[in-house]
Amino acid sequence: MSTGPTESQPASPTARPRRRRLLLLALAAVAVGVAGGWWLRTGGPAPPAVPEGVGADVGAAISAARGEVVADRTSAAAWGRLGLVFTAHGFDDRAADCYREAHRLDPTDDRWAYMLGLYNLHDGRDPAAAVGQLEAALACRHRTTAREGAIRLRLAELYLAERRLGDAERLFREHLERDPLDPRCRLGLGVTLLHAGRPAEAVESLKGATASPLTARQATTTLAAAARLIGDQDGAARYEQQAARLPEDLAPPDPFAADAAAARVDRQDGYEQVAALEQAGRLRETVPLLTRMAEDPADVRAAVTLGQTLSLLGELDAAERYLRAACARDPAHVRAALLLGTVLFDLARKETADGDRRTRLYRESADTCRRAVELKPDLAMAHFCRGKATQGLGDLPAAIPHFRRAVECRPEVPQFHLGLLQALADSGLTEEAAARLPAAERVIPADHPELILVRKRLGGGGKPDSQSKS
Amino acid sequence: MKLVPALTWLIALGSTSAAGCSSAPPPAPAATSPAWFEDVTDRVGINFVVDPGPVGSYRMPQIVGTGCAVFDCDGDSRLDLYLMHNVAPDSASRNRLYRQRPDGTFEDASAGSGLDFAGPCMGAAVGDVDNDGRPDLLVTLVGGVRLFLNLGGGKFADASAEAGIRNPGWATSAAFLDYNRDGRLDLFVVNYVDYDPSVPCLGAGGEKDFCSPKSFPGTVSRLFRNRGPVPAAGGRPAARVGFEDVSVLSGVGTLPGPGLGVYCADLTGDGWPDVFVANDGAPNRLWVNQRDGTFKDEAASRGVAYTIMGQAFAGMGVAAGDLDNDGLVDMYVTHLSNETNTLWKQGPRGMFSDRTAESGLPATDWRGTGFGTAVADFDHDGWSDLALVNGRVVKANPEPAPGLPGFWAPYAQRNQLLANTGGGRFKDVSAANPAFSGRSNVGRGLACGDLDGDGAVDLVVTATAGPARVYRNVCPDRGHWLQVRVVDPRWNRDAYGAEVTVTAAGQRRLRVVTAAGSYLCSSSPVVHFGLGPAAAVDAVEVTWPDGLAEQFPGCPADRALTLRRGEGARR
Repeated sequence: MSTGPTESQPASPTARPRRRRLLLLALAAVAVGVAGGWWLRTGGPAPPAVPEGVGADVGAAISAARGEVVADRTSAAAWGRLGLVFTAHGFDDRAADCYREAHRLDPTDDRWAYMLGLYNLHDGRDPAAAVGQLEAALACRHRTTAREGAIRLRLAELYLAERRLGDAERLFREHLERDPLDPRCRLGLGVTLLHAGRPAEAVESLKGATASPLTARQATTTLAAAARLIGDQDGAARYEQQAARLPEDLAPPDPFAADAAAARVDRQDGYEQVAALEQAGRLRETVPLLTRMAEDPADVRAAVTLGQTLSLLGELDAAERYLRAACARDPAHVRAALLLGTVLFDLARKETADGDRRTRLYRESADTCRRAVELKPDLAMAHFCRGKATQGLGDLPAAIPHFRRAVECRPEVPQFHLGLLQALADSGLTEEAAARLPAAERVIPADHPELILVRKRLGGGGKPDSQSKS
Repeated sequence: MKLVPALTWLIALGSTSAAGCSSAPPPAPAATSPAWFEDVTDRVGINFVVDPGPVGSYRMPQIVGTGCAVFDCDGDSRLDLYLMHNVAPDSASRNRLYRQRPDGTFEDASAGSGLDFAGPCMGAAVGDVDNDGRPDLLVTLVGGVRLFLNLGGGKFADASAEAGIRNPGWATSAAFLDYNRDGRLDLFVVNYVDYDPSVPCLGAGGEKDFCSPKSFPGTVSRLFRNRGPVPAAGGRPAARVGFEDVSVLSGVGTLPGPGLGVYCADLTGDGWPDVFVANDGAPNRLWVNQRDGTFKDEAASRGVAYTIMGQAFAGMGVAAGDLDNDGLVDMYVTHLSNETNTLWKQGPRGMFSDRTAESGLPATDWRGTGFGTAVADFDHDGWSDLALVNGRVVKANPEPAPGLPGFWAPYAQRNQLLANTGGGRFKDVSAANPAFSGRSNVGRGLACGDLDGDGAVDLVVTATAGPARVYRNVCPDRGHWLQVRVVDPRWNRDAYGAEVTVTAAGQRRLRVVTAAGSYLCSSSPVVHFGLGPAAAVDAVEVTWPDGLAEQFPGCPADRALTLRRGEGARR
């Protein structure tokens, strides 16, 4: 018979406290673990506060994203999401703090290093830091090839800006192996080669970027420089002229920046909406918006914009109404006076039945444009409008000084030269018209039918001379 | 046209963030070397605070500022100052002419000078338009220009009407040059935007602020051909000098842009003067002289329209000079603080490339929105340095700016000095120059010249709502120097456009004779060379504006020469 303790036997008086100690230690370890886990999730750096003075929508969005961070401070995704919300609403420094923490928690996620890089690029804060961050982003795993490509191109462009031409060329070429037709990359490589003193190679690359609306203008501009370096002066001039006619290049899409854009919750103000609609060519849709805004008697700008929009849409009577209201509200508003003057002129021109009304409209147009000129003496369009209205009243000699003044104020505008030339020719002042013709020919397209007509009337034939604008 | 699309996007997206994100101004780093300049404004008797007019209306010309002229108005070989206000014509704040006395102090000689008028003044250009040996003065204004003929003895006559110069727009910088090489100085006037004062603008935080140039269309520059004296004809009285507006015929009046800065020199190597115009937020223009009275804009193909990244920054002031002593003029243009001031180096001749990154210029102790800027060898080490004056155009967290009215404090920034350490690489020495760089101002104009005749280049700064300040060059242990005034006796005046090359200790250094450059200012046309340890000059070569090249004999250093065309050996 054993005398030692068995499992079924009660513990000896010395064993009981030891077990209790072990139990307590285990409980303490669990408690420490729980506390540590809780601290890890809820401790650490505090997320940036909601900025003072933000709108309710923005405040709510930031609070919600911030709440996710507070709930789990170990979540890189939560920190990153909060950073995006801050970026979306223009709180860049707060956003950078969030991206920094997100990148620390998950250095393998390319988004946070990239956004930090963008932050340091913004306003030229710290391009050297941006290089390191973009290099880190490129070394991360990538969710999509588009994201990888965006990082590579951005880094290559940064190398170019820093004149690390070898590094830039290497990355651009790496990118071209994956996407040989990417115009942004062709442009970047072309610029790099040009700066590396290899203009002939640059030309080949740049030609692949001249058709894209993202790169056409800069590619054509750079081609002009390459052509001049090669010694092709005609080519340089040709490309330079082409570039001058091209619209500004569009910004290429950036998937990372799009994430931030998607986080924006504040509503565009009325004018931003109007501008967006105008840019999209949806002018008609701005009318109800502007009409609502113009109901505020203090918002003269809305009434003026509405008047201008209505006149562009051909609704002259409505335009006149709003512009009169704008002039009444702010008699010193230059644009309101100018637009009202031009709308009255258009109304007069359209008035074919009622001669008295037509005369009245011309007179009021001339008078309104005179007021605009008093407010801004170098307002060329107002001088021109005044001249046209005076001409409409049948007083051509009185109109000519106004046309002269319009040309003097804005000599680069073809319409003003034509108006003056025609008025001079109609008045028999052919000597002055002939003297002014060479300057007019520098700004009016050579094949402009009215210019050809004026030339014929002045006895110069219809052929453009060599200096005419083509 | 940008290679950094998302950044641009973020800038646009974050347009409401500027106020919220502005960090406090960085503390001034400790001085590490002796100062180059001391503020002698009070000591020399200059007491002029630029009046920008009443605040609160946010009239855009107020933030664009006002420049000055440094020139010898009375022929006594001492430099005088012309300082301007930006006010209504009926204001009591009238421009002032300060004449320098033999003891180096200045006296207010405005009364009776013909220059003490009030107006929305912007800039000044100096040139002897009637070849009488006396420099004349052009003042640019919002809505016009005024030409004052120098009658001698510090007296001027307004000849704007008789000269036939009409510039109805908002004129900013201007320059005299002989673009057709006929011996008479012609006039190039840069115009800014078609400003409409009834358009209100809001800043970053939704508060009222000054408009950006993007709010208005740009306007064209003007070129006026000097016709010389014009006899009376057809009932019109005779004119001492007449100008013909050839803006459109020459081509420069066909392409508008928001112009602020200007520089004139032969920038293509064909011997004819070209014109560079710095545009504010639009591609710069390089008007290349076609030698037939016309110009073509070749800025894009010659590399100075955009930065290396294809960006059209907010060009303000222009400093041009040979920064790496390679015999070619380089261009430095000041921009906004969230951009980078850009250095376009020339090479090969007639071609420019953005070399900002490798010049060390971005690595400054702080950044500012740059306006007036000047290239000169301040320490006479043989390498040209850079000075620039700063001041914001939109509100930000105010920097301490003692004495500046509260309205202007959010626009104040500190000026900067950048030392050329050799080969066109720069280091920021602002911290060591508290007099010039330690005080915040809404800096705009910067003109230079050797005011005290000690052989070193001094500076004059104008600032919106602040005192005009005179900074005397006190750089210790300066190297040797040479000053050269080049005069064409046929025309009885300084040979604007001449190129002067000095050889000393085997090193050639180039300067171009001009009074134009910087921002809204006119500087002394006397060219200045720092020679480092070289105590003698081996030779001086002058290429005159008509192409004649002459060599003049060498001489000991540390002196001022006057060289006349025809007195050197033809080369």
